[in-house]
Amino acid sequence: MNLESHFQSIQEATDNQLVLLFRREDRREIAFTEIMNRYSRKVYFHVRNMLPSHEDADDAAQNTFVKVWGNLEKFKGDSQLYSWIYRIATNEALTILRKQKPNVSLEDVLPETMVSSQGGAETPESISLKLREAMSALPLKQKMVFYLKYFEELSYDQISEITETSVGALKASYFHAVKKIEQHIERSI
Amino acid sequence: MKQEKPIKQPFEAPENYFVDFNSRVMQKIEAEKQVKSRVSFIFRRSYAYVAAAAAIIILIGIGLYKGMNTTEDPGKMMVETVKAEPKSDTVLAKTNVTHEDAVIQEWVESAEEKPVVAVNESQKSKEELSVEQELEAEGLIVMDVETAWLDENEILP
Repeated sequence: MNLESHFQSIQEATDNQLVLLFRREDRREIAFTEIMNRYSRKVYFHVRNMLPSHEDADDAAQNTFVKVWGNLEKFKGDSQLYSWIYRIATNEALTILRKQKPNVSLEDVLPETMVSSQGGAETPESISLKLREAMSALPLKQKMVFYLKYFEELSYDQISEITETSVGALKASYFHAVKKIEQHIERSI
Repeated sequence: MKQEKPIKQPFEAPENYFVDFNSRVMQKIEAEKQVKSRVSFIFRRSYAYVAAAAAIIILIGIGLYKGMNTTEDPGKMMVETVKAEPKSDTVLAKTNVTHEDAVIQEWVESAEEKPVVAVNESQKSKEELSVEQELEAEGLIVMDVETAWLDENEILP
């Protein structure tokens, strides 16, 4: 049965259908383009949160999709496609960080050049800047968990698949991250 | 905290960053494909070179091995060659045997192997018989070659 008869347009296809479509030589590029359309922003912001510069994040995001292209045929579907892609992205970000600082781990706090927020009236931009400052002071793992939970609104189960960490440990990481961010923002106001 | 989100993302991407993101990724994939195919081509080519070099080394090894065996005992080789083909000038040249040596050896061998020719009565022609009869009549004794050596004194006057 023709796979494409299950959906009207490629945008309606599920992730699993895209994976199946990717395995067909003549539909590979179409399926892959749709996967990039769905996940390029998420991947970019995920790695941007972990990396100090846009250039690094751009490299990590592109490398992530190059690896997705190279390995999607072998993807068995044991996990969700998005968590598999996020995992690749996380590893790519760590690879770039390790080039800059060998032996870096998810528990490390990475120094980032953040512009200090000035006092004055609070605007959405100034609050965002303070939040970024507070996040930059977090250990990498807490930062990643906080980002995926707060900004990407993923469930603990989904984050657990991506980070291969237990839900209990994730809850603890998120709790500590929120506490540190609140303290940082309170100090800066 | 969720309800108070100031901005969706903590970072912003440069303007139009995602417009050509897909095409940049595809270019990178194509570039990697070319590198991979070039690497596999180089690997295949170097594999052929290695195989050719190995074949040449084996051939040279066989040649050297044979060469070592032939130069091990030149004297023995010379004798064997002369025995096998004493008349061949090519062989003589190869084995440093002079032409005179070969002629002498050939002559010795032919003398040793030459069968003794016995003259039988039946093989004698009429002229020979008549000559013999004349000689007998004159008192001279003619003997066969085979018996000539038996009693030399008897046939001499």
